[in-house]
Amino acid sequence: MIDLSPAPMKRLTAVHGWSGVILGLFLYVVVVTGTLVVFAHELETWSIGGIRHEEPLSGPIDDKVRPLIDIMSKGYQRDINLFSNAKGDLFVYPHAELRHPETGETESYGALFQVDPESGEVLSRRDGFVFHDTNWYVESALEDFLVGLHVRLYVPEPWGYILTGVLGLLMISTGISGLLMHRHMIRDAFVAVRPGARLVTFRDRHVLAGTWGLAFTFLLGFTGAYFSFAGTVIFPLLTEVAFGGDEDRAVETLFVPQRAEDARPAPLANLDAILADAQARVGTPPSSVGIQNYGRADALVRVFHPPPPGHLEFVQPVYDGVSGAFLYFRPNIGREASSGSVLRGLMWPLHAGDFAGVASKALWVGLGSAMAYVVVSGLHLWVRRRSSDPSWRRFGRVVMVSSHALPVALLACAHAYYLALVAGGDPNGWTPAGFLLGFIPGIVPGWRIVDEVEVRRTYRRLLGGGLLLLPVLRMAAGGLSWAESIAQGQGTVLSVDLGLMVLGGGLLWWARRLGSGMVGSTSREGGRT
Amino acid sequence: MIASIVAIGVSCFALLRLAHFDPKRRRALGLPEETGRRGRGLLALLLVPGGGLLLLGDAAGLMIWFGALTLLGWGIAAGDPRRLGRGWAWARGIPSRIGLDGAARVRALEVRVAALEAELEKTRGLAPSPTGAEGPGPRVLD
Repeated sequence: MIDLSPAPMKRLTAVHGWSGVILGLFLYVVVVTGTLVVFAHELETWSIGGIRHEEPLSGPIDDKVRPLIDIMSKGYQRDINLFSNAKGDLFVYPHAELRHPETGETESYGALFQVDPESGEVLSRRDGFVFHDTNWYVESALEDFLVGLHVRLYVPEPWGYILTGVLGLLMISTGISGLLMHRHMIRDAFVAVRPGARLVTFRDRHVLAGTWGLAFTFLLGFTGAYFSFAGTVIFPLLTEVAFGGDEDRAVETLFVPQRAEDARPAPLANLDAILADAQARVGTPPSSVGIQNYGRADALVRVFHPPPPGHLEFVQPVYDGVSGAFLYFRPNIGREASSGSVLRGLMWPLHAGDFAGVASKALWVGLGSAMAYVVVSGLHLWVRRRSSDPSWRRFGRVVMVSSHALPVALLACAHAYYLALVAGGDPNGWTPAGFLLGFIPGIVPGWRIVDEVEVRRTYRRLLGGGLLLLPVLRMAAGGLSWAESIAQGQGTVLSVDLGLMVLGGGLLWWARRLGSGMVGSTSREGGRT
Repeated sequence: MIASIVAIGVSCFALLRLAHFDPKRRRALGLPEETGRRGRGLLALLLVPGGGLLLLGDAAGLMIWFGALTLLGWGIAAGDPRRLGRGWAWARGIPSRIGLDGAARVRALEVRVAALEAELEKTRGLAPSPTGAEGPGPRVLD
């Protein structure tokens, strides 16, 4: 381990602390929302009242999809996507890439068909630049809002992505500076937290959480920064440097399977046979399908799958669109297998814990919670060291209130989402409004109540009660009852409800415990903000 | 998945023992130093399950094991040591409570047999001698 002399150590401590003070609360928002959206798919299913169809791309779909593509003109048959939403409805999207007159960017333009995968009935059809209107493709405004908050903090593009990317790099840099500052990190990995509310107690807690979470700090920070910078910095830079600024050529080279041009007419092979072969070959059901050059001799079908059992990477078998023969597994990026492709393929599963179902996601939620604890405990430690200064004490109060106000506001946005459904309002507008309004009950206890123990107890009661209320609101908004969930096999709806109730009950119990255990030990050092 | 659960179980045991024998932790808790060198063996026990998953080519299992180890390690290190001690004692008592601790049962039976034999000896000592000789006098048996 590098042994630093006092002067560099002092500088390192200042860099570590000040970077946390300046960006720590933003990082806290990104980490907490990231922890929630690990279960984005489950939250989406829960918030829209369960699924209608399971694995729509596993069943027979050829006879439902083909007529919809056939009615489109040739220009929209070059590129067709098949995917499903959280309800299990099938989407068929024949489209072309066109320049949007308002944005000046090349965007997909086509017809988005929403189809019942069992009956083949077309539930809706939208035409145009469909991804401009969230109502056209977003099922759950709640899930969409939480993901948006995590990935770009609703700061205008591209700055939101750049900010979250910088926060990812901050995680890495504070991890490295922490490692250098606490030279005996590994040797002290098991040293117990010293009891009481002394400075060393705060330090022990922060160092222990930081030590054990160090590897995942690097992992989540690096993968998060990659996703933030991929579209805003990396890809534009790569396009400029390697493709002379030709974006279309860059996309074709990096992401599209290559095939010799052959415009002779030829019917597409049976999609059901291709999907059945892909599922047997990979071991997981398809999550989406891409068809290139429909109705031509050079047609290709790409099938996207979640990781096979025991693997981390998503896989992509490619088929000849005319004969239906399996051709090859396409690398994640580029035309040939490479370490860069493997690395890119690992980014998503390692960032989101999306590789072994609920088990890996639950672990990632735990790791995200540990990261949030490291951020908040670090801020508390920094303030505690300067508690003689009234302005730092006020900042400490801000940290304490903000760390509780954020979960309260997140809970309020879920309440607003369901209340909008009950009242017939627009959930896409009311969910973010609920988040902002949620800061009122989030901040008021910290502003009005001086006693710190009482504030914490109030926040725990608020959060616990709010969580217990969510399943009731969901059902009031027309969601499935528990009996219906069991009868229909909607395990996700029931599991999320039970999880929320356990968490809510736990917080209320914790609030009660705080009250009985801390009588006479209240702290007034924080003061009002 | 079963392989990763087994791996997590083995590594969790190693983590608990490493925490128990850690000299700095013991000093901080005011406990006497434990003699003997167990560190390397326990460290191997901690890491070998991960190596096993790697050899099996179970990348998903390896990441689950690594994530679980991170959280368990933090929980063990930051948790209340007294509660951890009580938990450890409770966990050690599980085999005997469900009748799986064979050695403890044999020891208990041996103690019981010895007590019965001693009682038998005492009873024999009270019985009248076939030759008419007097015994050791009246005694109250337990």
